[in-house]
Amino acid sequence: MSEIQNSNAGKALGIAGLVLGIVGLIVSFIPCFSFWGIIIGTTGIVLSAISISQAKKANAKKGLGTAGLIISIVGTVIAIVWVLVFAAAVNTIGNAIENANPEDIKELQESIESMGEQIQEEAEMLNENDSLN
Amino acid sequence: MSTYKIVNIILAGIIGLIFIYSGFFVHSDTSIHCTVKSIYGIDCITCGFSRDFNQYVQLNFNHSINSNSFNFFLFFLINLFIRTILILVNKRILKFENRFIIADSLIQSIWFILIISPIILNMWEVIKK
Repeated sequence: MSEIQNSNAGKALGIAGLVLGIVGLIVSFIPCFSFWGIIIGTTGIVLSAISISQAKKANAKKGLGTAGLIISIVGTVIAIVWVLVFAAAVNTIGNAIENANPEDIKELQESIESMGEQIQEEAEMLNENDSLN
Repeated sequence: MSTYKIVNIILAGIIGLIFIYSGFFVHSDTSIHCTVKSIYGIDCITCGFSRDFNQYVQLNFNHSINSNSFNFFLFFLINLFIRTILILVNKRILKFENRFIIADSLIQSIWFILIISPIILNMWEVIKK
């Protein structure tokens, strides 16, 4: 069995993969940026995989690359799940609107309008209070 | 230079760039738009984060659009502080670096799960309805 060499092979790419993995994981949880999470996570996976392969060739440590690979995969999967969840939610809302009773839609429209007016009134009251203070 | 220090420097740099972007470029032409809104046309649970960050960077904490944004802002701010401290005192923690890395990863993961859980629960409620 070959011993692990004290080599830096794959270290730089491993660090890059790990950082991209961490950033991708954080970004993937935020729905606004989940598409960016897929891009960052995929880049992290590629860099980490190259880092592991380089380390394997030089018989060096593969810890960084492995950590980066796992975190990047988790981040990418979460980002894909968010995108699918939103697509499903939009699809469900669309279907519900298509199949809804016209009277129900009218009622919903009226309640949204009254809610809007209420919010506007409260905002005006808050603004008045702010100007008094 | 240890790997931990390099990772901390890069993470501190990225967080710093997030604050610079939030403070100065949110309302410019280079601002990032919500991908969910641009594709599906509806506001997502995290819409308003960058505008809130812009307000927080300017020390205006009273007019937030999204109630979850402050937790994220605090997470990034304290992380920037922690990364900077860890970069400065790196030589002293080299002896216990492995323990430090495990503790750091665990604390950050648990903290992040805590701040992200309201968003996940909110989304779960939407899906259930």
